[in-house]
Parts: sequence; C-alpha cells; structure tokens
Amino acid sequence: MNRPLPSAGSLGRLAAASAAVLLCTACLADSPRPGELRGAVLPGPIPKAEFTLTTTEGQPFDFRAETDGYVTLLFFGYTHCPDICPVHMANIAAVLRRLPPQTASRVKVVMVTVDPERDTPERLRTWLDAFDHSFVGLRGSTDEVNTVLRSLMLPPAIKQGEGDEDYLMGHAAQVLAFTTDNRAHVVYPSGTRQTDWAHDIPLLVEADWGSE
Amino acid sequence: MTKLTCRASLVTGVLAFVTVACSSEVERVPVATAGDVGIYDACAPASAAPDVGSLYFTVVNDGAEPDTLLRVTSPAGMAMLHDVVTDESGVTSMVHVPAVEIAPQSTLYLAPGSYHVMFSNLSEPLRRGDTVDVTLTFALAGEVTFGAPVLTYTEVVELLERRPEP
Repeated sequence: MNRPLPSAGSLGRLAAASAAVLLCTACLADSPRPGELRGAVLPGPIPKAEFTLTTTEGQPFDFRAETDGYVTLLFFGYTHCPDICPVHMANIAAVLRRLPPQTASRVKVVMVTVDPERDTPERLRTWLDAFDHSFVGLRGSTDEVNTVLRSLMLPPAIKQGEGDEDYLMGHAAQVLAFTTDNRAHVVYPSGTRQTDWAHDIPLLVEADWGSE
Repeated sequence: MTKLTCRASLVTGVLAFVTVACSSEVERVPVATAGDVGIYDACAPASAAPDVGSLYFTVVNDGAEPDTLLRVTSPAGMAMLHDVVTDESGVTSMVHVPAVEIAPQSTLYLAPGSYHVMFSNLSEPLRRGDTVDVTLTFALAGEVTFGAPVLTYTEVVELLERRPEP
C-alpha cells in the first residue's frame, strides 16, 4: 500500500505539534503554575522534617537522608482504619503502577503509623504489602510521632475510644508531597482521586522546584 | 435504542457495569429492594488488614415518605455505619452514625471519605471474589439483605466514581 506523502498543511500541523511538545516540556522544567496542580497548594512550603523512626524491618530510617532526591509522599495513618488510609494507599499504588517506570521510580511513599500500640511491624508490613511492597512503613512512640506531626504543622493524633483494642484514631488525613527541593508545596486531602494523582505526580517529579 | 441492564451482585456483574457505565443508556438494576428503597452499587474492598474492612453502597428512596437507615449487620463481623468529620485543628475522625434519614425521592451515597460501613473483628479477611452478606434495616422499608462483592480497592473506587452524579 502506498502511503501518501505529507501535504504542506500536515507538515505545518506536525511542526506546530512539535513546537507544542517543546513548549510543554519547557513548562515541565519550571515549577507548576498556580492552579496547574490538583492537590491543595500550600500558602507557604513546609520544609522536610528531620526525624528518624524505625522501619518495619527494625532499621532506623533517617527520613530526610533516605528520601533526598525523591518526590516523597508522606502520610500518617493506621491499619485499623477502614476508609481514608487504605484508600489513599490504594489510589497512590494504582497510579504508580500505571506511570512510566522512569517516573514512578522517582517517588517514595512513606507511611508513619499513628497507632504504634496495635500496628506491630509485622502488621504494618502486611498492610502496606497489600498495596505496594516498596511503600515504607515507619513506627515510633506516640510522643515521637506527635513531635514529627507538630514539626510539619500537623495536629497530633488522637485516640478515640476507651478499649484496649477497639478504638479509632483521629489524625491528619492529608498526604504531604515533598519535592526534590525538600519542601512540601502541596498536600492531597482525603478524597483525592486516582485521576488527580495521575495528573500531579509527573508534574511533581519533572518540575524544577529550585533549592531550599 | 439499546438498553443495557446489569446487576452488581457478582464480581463479573460489577465489572460489566463498570465497563458499560459510560454508555448513555444504562438501566440501573438494584441489588436488592424493600418497599420504596433500592440498594445499588454494593461493594467491599478486599481487606488490607485481616480483621478490618469497609462497605459502600447507594440507597435510593423512591417513596413519598422519608425513610431512615437504622442498622447494618453482617455475619462477616461487626458492622457499623460511620461518617468522616474533620475538626478545626485538622484532625479527621470517623464517627459512628446511629441512623441516617433519606428524604423522599433522594439518594444516600456511601463513599470513601464520607459515609461508609466499617467492618471490624472480621472472622476472616475479605478476599477479592468473595461475597459478603449484609442486612440493612430501614424504619419504613424494613430489612433488606444482599450480597456485596469483594473487589480490589481500585475496582471499588472506579465503580463508585461512575455512579450518577448526586
């Protein structure tokens, strides 16, 4: 089958499309413009907290050092949560699986349990593995975790209920997105959809956020 | 005109619904009815924790009177209707909701981050492909029992996001 030669008009459209791609690439090199991100852009960026907690494998995890150079999605939750916590994790995991590996590999997901009494290392690891084996689970004492929360301008977690086993935790429900400048410019509240993550994560990865 | 019908009582049925939901001509079939109340979109995500789970569905009240959802029970474990609230300090919590009124000709949507049923003390984890039996008790319509398919979280999210707009 003979393929028709491109017309002058189609070449012009091709050139215009190429220029648009170049422009778009140029856009990605800058930090996103206001309104471009679907997450909630903070009025002022939050510096990445410096803390060390313990992984589900029992190793110390220096958050600042271990996540340097990555887009880091930090969340505080617990495994007895039936709704917000697993939905956040499931949505992020599903989107990361669908993104190109060169983008997904530049993202780390860290979940700090606000319920260290019930979230044993084994339980937390099993829960995270239900979403993605690469997700980092961190534990610390209630005081240590609340200190981290306060350093990020988040409220301390609150135990709700009197039982030793049957209680819920109130906690900040947003995911903080730290970019490669080691600051969080945007957070993702409960209700963030997979389409929102799929839209924003490449922007968070590719944009030039400057330095601290 | 092509009319498509689908039933959400089986995993395959739910996936079929998800597939065809973009079509403009979908006749939604309830998974169960009682009186003027119809239950749609029932689904439960597979448990990430072995003893905890959740359940989502839609209640349509086609009647001329308000009805009230009074109770949720399941042989799978303790079932409790929750809402999600955030206080002034930014702490988000789940709170038990003893009852929810559904106005005449209106719809109650259960969804992540909003009304949902929490399963606790599950005797077994909810696994994809399972069906979890649920009974809802309404003040007027009485009891309605149905099986909610256990799906992946992504399947649940996709199913719920494709519901007609509130």
